[in-house]
Amino acid sequence: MVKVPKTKKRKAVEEPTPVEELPKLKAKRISDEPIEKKTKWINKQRVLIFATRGINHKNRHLMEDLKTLMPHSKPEAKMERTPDLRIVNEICESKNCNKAILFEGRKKRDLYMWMSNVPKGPCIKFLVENIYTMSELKMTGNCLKGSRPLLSFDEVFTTLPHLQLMKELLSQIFGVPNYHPKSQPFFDKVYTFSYMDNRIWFRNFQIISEEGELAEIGPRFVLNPVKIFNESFGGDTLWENPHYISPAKLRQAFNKQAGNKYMNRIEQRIAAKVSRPEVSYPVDPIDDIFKEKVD
Amino acid sequence: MDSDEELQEAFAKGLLKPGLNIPVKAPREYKNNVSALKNQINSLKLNLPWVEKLVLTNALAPMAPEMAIHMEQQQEQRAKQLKSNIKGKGKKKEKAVELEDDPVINDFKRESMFYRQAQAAVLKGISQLKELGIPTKRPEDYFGEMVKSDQHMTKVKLVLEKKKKEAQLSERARQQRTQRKMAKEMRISSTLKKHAEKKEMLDEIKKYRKGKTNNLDFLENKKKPVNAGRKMRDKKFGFGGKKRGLKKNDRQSAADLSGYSGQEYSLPGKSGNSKFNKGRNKNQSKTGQKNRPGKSRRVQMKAKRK
Repeated sequence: MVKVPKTKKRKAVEEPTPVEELPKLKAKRISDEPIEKKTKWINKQRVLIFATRGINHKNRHLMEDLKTLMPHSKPEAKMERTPDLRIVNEICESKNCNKAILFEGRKKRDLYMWMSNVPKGPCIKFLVENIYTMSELKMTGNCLKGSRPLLSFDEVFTTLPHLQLMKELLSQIFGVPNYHPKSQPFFDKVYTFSYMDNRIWFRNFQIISEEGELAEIGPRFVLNPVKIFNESFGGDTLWENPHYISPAKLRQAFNKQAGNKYMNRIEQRIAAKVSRPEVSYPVDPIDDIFKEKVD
Repeated sequence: MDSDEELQEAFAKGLLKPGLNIPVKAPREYKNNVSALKNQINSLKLNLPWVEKLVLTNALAPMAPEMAIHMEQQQEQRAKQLKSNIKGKGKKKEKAVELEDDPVINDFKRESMFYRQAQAAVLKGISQLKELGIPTKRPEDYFGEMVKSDQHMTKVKLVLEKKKKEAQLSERARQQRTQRKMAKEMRISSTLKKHAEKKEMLDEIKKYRKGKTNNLDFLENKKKPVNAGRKMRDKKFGFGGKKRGLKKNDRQSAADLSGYSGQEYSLPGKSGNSKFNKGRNKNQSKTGQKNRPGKSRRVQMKAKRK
């Protein structure tokens, strides 16, 4: 859609729309009328989205996508990597945010995502896998900037306590608050959080028709939970993922296997050489005596 | 049990058995503090109406029939591809097909599951919003900034069109390939048939020559069906033999006056014998042949026919 200048946009909102659709909007406002105070905005979630130094371009694009999709987010300059992440709490406080998403890149390769409820915790650390950004051309959908998404969770999220906690935190971070000043009062997208293979799969679909026709908007990513901490960016570990293997370890194992392949082959060769019998089949030389022709 | 002395003591007591002794690591315990987790959930929960949060927990929507068909087709195609990729190695093939059923690996299956989950959420969520009396659709004339720019969307459209075109082209190529294959088969079968017929005929002739049969029916049976058009043309233009000088007059033909009545060339008034004109059509001449209309009439008629 065409980007409309701000004044024009406001005008568009106030334009008389069909009565049954938006009954609350008036056709005209009298200039003396006192400006109505917006008390409707109750759910005040503000999410700080930023990254540490050392994330690669794809991960950065993913972060930008999340920022565009979440009107209740606030940006922040990228942070120096520190062993203790408790400084983030202070940054959030100064930015007046009560939720945070921190992207932490390792080796320009692996991406970790921290999600936290800021002053009190809890905090979840995820490994992000299989990233596809919104700018990918196979994602054909599009939606209004700032529209509120429906959040769809798999039924598994109601079963185990750690999954319940993840659902609660994810829904509070990704859900756009009602009557948020930057949000739009229309519903044209769904986020799905599905649980499969011990991971959380995120998808974003555009609602083309309300009978259930959808098109994917993007981004796509898979969250592999690592740990849940009691406090924000620290504290006791409440839960650990028993299925989690760090990508560095996986790579190590692969390398080892590849290295072992060569060693294994050499060992086999030596073993074969050693165990090879000197005589392949014991033949009695006397057996051949009468076979030879005598002239 | 690290130092040598300790080990020796342990061996003396019979704790250590001879052979290779490896220190066994205790399996790592993974933390799962359920009570603390539950406390956190309770403190985190927002006591707000549903509209503020829009959270839905739902199962998958039932699969749409067209999607099921699409999925089946996709599976067939995949199976075909696998067949062509892995030839002869039965074990490997089986394994590959098995893997296809796992939604973690099978992209299409997995994505369709997510799609269905989203579908169920839309159906449920929109109806819930409508119950609360909240408008969901935006008016037609409402323009706002979109997440993806116009430029990007045109790019997407172009790519989609290109893909569609490519699919069409490949489909056409496939059809042509199959047609060519069919034609080749037909050609081969027809030549084989011809050869077989010839051989049969020669065999029959051989038999006849050697006096085994007196029957010559096989010569007539195998006659080709007569082409009516060919017959006409043969009759008209002649078939076989000398054509030169065929239309030349000779003594006999010059003397032959059977086709000449004499009346044709007489004046209309003189020939006014009403007897002759009685049974004739307007278009028919006296010789019984159809009259050819003039050039202008013929042109008119041709135009009318078209």
